[in-house]
Amino acid sequence: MFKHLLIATDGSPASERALDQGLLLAKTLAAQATVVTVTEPWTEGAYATIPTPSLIKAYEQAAAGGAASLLDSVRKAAEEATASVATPATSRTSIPPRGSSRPRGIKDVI
Amino acid sequence: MYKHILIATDGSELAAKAVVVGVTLAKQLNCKVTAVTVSEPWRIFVAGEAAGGFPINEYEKDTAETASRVLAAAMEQARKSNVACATVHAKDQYPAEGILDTAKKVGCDLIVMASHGRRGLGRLLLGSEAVKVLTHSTIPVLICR
Repeated sequence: MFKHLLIATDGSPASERALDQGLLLAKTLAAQATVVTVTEPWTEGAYATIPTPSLIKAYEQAAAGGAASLLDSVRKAAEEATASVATPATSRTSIPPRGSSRPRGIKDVI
Repeated sequence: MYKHILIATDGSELAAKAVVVGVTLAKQLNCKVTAVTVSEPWRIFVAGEAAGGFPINEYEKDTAETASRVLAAAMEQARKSNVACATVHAKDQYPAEGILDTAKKVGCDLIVMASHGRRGLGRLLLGSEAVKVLTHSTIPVLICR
């Protein structure tokens, strides 16, 4: 029935539980899993500074680095989860597109 | 992984989809299901029959008939897929409450339900009962749209 699961994670303990359940479900259903982590757009307010290009660049690098290391650990978890079954779930991880100019609305919440 | 799936249905078209999803998933996971339907407590003023005697018995008969029809449909779906299916009619409860209570009582580890019920206001992103179940459930919830 389900062929491809999207598992969203931000590395928090709660999302680790979701990751475990999602991988296990994908494994049991012999389905594909894609793990996504989302980095938020730059918000001036959080830094209380004028966003110079170098600051934005530093932010983007930090965000990309954080996402990459998170997805690395996800990849390991997926490999461990699939190593023990005959019909392994394939897992694919990639850094998602940055949505820095995307308007945010209620659909982001639901 | 999941051992016992609770499928909530009110007999609506969308709930029928949730029944199919729940049963198919149970089939693939080789686990059992319990179908639950909830009937709400009787409300005099909504019924508008305060002066018309004491129609509680009629109301109960009516809800029992509706519940058994709804549950029979779910059981039939499970039978077709060869999935073990128990049924529960939760009486005098609000839907979310009845669903959560039943999940706890029969020991389910996944709830499958529709995003909107029979009275579903389609314009809402999620129906109110689905929101309540999601908010209060301690086990995973699969919402079908």
